[in-house]
This record gives sequence, C-alpha cells and structure tokens, in this order.
Amino acid sequence: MITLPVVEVVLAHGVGGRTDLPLSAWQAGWSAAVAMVLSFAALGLLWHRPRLAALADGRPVAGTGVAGIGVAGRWATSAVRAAVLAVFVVVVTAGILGADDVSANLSPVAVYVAFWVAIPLLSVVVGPFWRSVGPWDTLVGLAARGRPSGSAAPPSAITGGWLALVPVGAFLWLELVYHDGARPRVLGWAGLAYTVAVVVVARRWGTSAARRVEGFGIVIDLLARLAPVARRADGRWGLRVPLAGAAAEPLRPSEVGLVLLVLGGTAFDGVSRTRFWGDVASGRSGWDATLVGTVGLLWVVAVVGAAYHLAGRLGDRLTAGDPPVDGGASGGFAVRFGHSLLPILLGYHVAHYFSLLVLEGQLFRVLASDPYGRGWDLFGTVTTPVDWTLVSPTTVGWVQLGSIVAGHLAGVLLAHDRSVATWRPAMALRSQYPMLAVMVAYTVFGLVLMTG
Amino acid sequence: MAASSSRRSVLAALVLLALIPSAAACGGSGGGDDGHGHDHGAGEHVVDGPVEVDVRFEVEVVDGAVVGGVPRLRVAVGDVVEVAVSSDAADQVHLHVYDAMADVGPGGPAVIAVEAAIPGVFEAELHGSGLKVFELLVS
Repeated sequence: MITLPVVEVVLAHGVGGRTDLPLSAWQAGWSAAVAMVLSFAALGLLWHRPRLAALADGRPVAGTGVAGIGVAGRWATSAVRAAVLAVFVVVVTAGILGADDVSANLSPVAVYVAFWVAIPLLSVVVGPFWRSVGPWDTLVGLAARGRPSGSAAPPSAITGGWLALVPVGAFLWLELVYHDGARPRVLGWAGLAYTVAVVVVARRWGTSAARRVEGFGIVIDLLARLAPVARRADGRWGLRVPLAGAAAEPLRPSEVGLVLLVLGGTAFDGVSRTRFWGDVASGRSGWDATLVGTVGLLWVVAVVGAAYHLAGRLGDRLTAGDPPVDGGASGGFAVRFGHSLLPILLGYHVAHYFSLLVLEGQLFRVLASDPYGRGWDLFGTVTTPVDWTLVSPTTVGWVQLGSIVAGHLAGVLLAHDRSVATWRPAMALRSQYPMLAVMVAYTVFGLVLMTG
Repeated sequence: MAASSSRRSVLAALVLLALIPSAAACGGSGGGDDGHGHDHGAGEHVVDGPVEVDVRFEVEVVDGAVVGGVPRLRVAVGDVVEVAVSSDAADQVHLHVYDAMADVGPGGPAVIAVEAAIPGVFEAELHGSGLKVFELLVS
C-alpha cells in the first residue's frame, strides 16, 4: 500500500489564497472612457518638441560619487549581493530538498511573489538594483572570470536576445498553466537547470552573452528604466522625472518581443480568472487542464503580440513618405515605440499582482522561518498568522483601475514624446493613431478582464 | 591574490550553507510529504457545532466534473455559509484561506461551514484530483 503524497493544489498564479473581487462594470467603463478621452486630448494638447529623453540623466544627488562613499557603496553592494545569493541558494535547495508542499516550502512564494512581483516593482521605485545584486549576475560574473579568451562569437540567437524569450515563456507557462507549477520540486529543479544554463553560456561566451540570455534580468532592467532614480553618465546618482529613462534608450527588437510576451502572460492570467475561462476549463484537471491552458496562453500572447505588430505595420505605412529625423536608426515603427509598452506592462502587473504581494506576500515572512518545511522556527515567525483582510477588496479594485489607466496614459506620453522627436508635428500626430488604437485596445481588454 | 582567496572562502561558506538542509533532508524519514499543519477545520472562521446557517449551497461532482459547471457562490460578509459537496469518488474538499477541510465520497457529502468574515474570492478544490469545485465570493 503506497500512501500518495498530499500536494497542495495549484491555483491561479501559483500560490493559492484570496483572489480579487471582480470589478463592477461601471467602474471599468468609466475608467476606460477616462483613459480614451485623455489619450485623444493628449494628441492635441501635449508638447510639440521632445522633452523626456533630455531629462533621463536627472539631477545629481548631493554626496554621491565621492570616492569614500564609492568604496563604502561597493562594500554595501557586495554584502547585499552575498545575502541575495544566500537567499537564492536557500530557495533553490528548498525546492529540490524541502517538503514538497506549496504551503510548507519557501520556494513557491519566493519565486512567484518575491521574485516576480516584489523585485520588478522595487526596481520601478529604486532603479536597476537587480543588475548589481541579482544571483544570476553574481554567478555569471564568477563563471566568466578566468575564461579562456578568444573563444568563438556567440550564436545570433544569443546576441540578438531572442533566446531570452525561452526561459521567460517557460516561467509564464509554469506560473499560469502547468498544473504542478507551484510544486517546490518543479520550481527547484527548473531554477537549478536555468542557473546551470546561464552559467554555461557565461563560461562559454562571456558576461554580455549570458546577460542576453537571462530574460528575467532584462525584463526587470527594462522596468527599472521607468524609475525616478538612475546612475548618471558621470557616475553619480541622479533623480529624474519617472518615465524619462524609458524615453532615452530605444529597445532592441527582442526586448519588445519580451515585453509583449510578459504582457500577454499577464493578460492570460486575467482571462483565466473570467467566468468564460471557468467554463472552458470546467471539469478539467491535471494534464488535461494544462493542455487547454497552454492553448489559451499561446492564444492570448499571440493576440497581444499580433495587435502590436499590426499597429507597427500600420504606423510604418502611415509614415512611409516621411523618413524619421534619425534616418530610421531606431528601427521600424514597432521597435521605435516599444518602450511605450513598459508602463502598460507595469500597470497590468500591479493590477494583477498587487493583492498577491500584499496578502500572499505575508507568507514569505512565515516560511522564511522554516524554508524547508522541517518544523524549524529560525526567526520566530512561523506561527504568525496571515492577515487576509490587510487590504480591502475595494482598495484593491481602485488600485487595479488606477494602475491600468495610469499605465495607459504613461504609455501614451512616452509614445507622443518619441513621435515628436521623430517627425515634424503634423506627421507625429498622424503616426500616433495606430499606437493609440492598440493602447486603447489593451486597456479596454485589461479592464474587461477585471470585471471577471 | 588576497581578493580571490576571500572570494573562495565566501563560496565555500555558501556551499556549506547549501549542504546543511540537504543533510537534514537525509536525516528525515521519507521527506515532508506527510501532515503539514492542515488539520481538519483549522481556520479560525470555520464553524463547528450547531450554529444558525444563513446561506446553504449544494455542489455535486460526478465523473470528475462539477454538475452544471463550477459555481460562484455569492454571500455577504458576516454570513454563516454552509456548502455541501457530494462526489461519486472519495476525496477531500479544501476551501482555501478559510482552511476548511472535509472528506467526501460515496459514503456521504462533505459539509463545510464557515463564517464569511474575510471578503474576496476563495476557491475550493478536491485535494486529490485538483478539481476546482466552487468559488466563494464574499462581498
């Protein structure tokens, strides 16, 4: 007689708990209307000269960049880097060796809440800190040291950055589709396999090749461009207008693809919470549910990507007779405006995962005391109850609406600023019709999903 | 030279750190797949004993699917809710967050009773098959 292990059932976005109440139709409708009216008003009322890119460097923060503080900063960075690496090791080993139970193991909440929600949001506030302290960057740095020089150039899939879509796509599939995706064993082995792959690339082709493969770092870094804090060209820290950093640097085509992939994943998370999807998935469990979910995820990502691609093609056609002032150095229309998707991605991310962070995030503190599920109580927090009423559904609802609409408007601003940097005013205005159309579509789609 | 040796010792410390839990894993008997704090009716809002029930629901599972689709059961905050889940196969019903658990099977339905004190949407599942049986919407 074999006793089957009791494995906590996997829920939407990995860790089960309180799900958000659907928004009412009037809330969603009004938000969509406000977003649309403001976007069209923006077309006519906003500035006619580019403004944001010039602000990207920011005003220097007094006291930074002095030699002594630089040394202290390096020590502090090393300490944080070691601490993050230690937590990373605990999370991966907990996944592989700890209790194989979602509710008794640190790895699911660490991966799906701390890593995928808290770190990107923190980056949007404090800037690209993950590059300096993230575990994969640390390991890549170590692996690339003492590497035999003069090795062959990396394959174009790596240099172009397209390979980065593979780990991020696999992650989204685990999070949103795979029926055992929150199982500690799955997360532990997947994390280890990914780490080994990144380290092998670093050893073989060096640091910059490894960074092109490490898709999570790219996504987190891209979001950090929206931050009001950044390293200035002169090495000092600067405070700047949020969004300005995104305006300064164009995205690579593969980075636009990555942003669309994550945006599509988050949109599918919304779709999977609707009644419509409930009916589709009804009565399915295990691999049957995974199969249907995989089709759904591919479908939503394809729709989100195709909508943007179509807008890009339309934009290319609309502006065909009028070469951009930079002679087309920033690529085609879709690539040129790819950065305006970043605040939209951020808005979707906050809307979908804010309550996850605030509610399920509390489990991190609880499970940190007993990461392996062995009955430890390292920090005396193992019996701390999770306060499932910490934030009311009403507050969550307004945060969701606010973040989607604000993300939309910020996207419109970024696209507008880029358009007046590229074309004379009349053409700039015309170029924005397809961009506005796709953004309004994303926003209305996002809001409709929120009504369940 | 000194820098690289200190780096090596940091690495050694990390490797050691990683080995501690694996030693613990080897010492344990059969891993942690047994009980993990999910006692029956562990949550504080689970109603145990004779209380006046405000809303009653019935959910039926036949051949691994919920008859009529997975229902979203709407209740008001503060209601005492009772959900009876019947199934043709033996399993365990678990309502998340409220942490109510009850056995179900051909022998009889699982009756879950909670005071709906926490607003939000909560899912109830069969632990064995992973099938979602209902959603409790508290608003």
